[in-house]
Amino acid sequence: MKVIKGISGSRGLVTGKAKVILDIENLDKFEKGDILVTVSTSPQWTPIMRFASAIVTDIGGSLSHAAIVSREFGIPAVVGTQEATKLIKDGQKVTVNGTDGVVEIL
Amino acid sequence: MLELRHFRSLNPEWFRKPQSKLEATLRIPLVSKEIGIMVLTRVFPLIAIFSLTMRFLLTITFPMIPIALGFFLYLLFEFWVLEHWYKNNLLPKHKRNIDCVNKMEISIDSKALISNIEKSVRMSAYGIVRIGYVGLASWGWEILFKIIYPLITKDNDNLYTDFLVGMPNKVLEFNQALWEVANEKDDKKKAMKNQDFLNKFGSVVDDMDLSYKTFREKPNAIESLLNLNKGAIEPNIDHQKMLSRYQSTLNSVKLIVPFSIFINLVAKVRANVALREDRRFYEFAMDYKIRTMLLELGKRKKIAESELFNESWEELKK
Repeated sequence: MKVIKGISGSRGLVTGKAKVILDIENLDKFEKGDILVTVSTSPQWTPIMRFASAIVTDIGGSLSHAAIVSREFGIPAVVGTQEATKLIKDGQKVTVNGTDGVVEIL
Repeated sequence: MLELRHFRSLNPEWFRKPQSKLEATLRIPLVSKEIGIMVLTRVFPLIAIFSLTMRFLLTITFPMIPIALGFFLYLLFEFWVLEHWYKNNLLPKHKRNIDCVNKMEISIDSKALISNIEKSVRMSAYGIVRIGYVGLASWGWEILFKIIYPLITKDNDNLYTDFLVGMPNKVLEFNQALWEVANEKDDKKKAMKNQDFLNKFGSVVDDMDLSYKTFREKPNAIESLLNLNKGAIEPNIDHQKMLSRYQSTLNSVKLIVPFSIFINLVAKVRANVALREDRRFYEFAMDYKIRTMLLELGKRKKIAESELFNESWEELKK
């Protein structure tokens, strides 16, 4: 089991299937309830975020877009992990602990 | 030349990629000019007034103390007034500008087209800087609340962020409009709703650079999102759940200050924090139209889209 440390963006604990998406034009592989893993989010990403069960980003802090919008949707978020998009592979099972700012690759 | 990536320390989410040459030579100089105007007409005068007032009131000879106090009072003043300024002055003007740009015709005359591009980019830069400045209050109130919250509450399981959910904002409007398009059964109505949605929310961008495609220029993403929204829970219903969560948090909070003070503070913080997504939405609301005009100019000059944004504005308008 590999642990990725980041910053707590929005609290909560979720285990699920990760989808690494670097561009919103590649959303076709995303399914409702997937964990969205990306570099960072912007307003263009907002409509997909409500369908994610958790968010993990490489960049950002507790006041970042990903953190704020995840909070609004009531889903856990770990932000500022630096390398989540490199370490997590598509379809891998991961646990996102938004309270402690930790992601576990199971 | 001003490089936006130098401002990444303010927020690492911004300016992740090197800016395009066209952005750097077309909008950035105007943004820099507007920043200068804002600093000279609003920031410096306010700091000077508060610093001089402190200087006379406190009769302190060491100059740094009145300046530091003046700066602190300037921040508090802006925290207090920016929401009002944004809603009552800035936003109505910016909306008129957005309307003006969106109604601009793609002129057959290339000189008129160039003039329209420059006019719309000037309006865009004006809005970006002033709306960006309102961020001082929308971020400031959250940081202030984060600091104050543990000092005015006791034995709480709640985080300060639990009070900052269930706020109606552009995120909710965006998602609701998209959901309504996806779940419309009548094809004619669906097409109309889709067009309204694109006109209203289609100019959302990934970052500040005219070389980036706006949301409505990404049909694959829109198609995937419409599919996800089909049969999904209505965003307004989800929002009500978050609002109920906020209200139950409010009912359970244990305070060491009167509830009336706390609720007024929370109301002010929520009003300002809600501006954050509102601002992001309006800041770049002209980008789609500006890009459309730039792409048309490129087409007339037989420059491919992939090359267009590597040109400087001076080269392009020759």
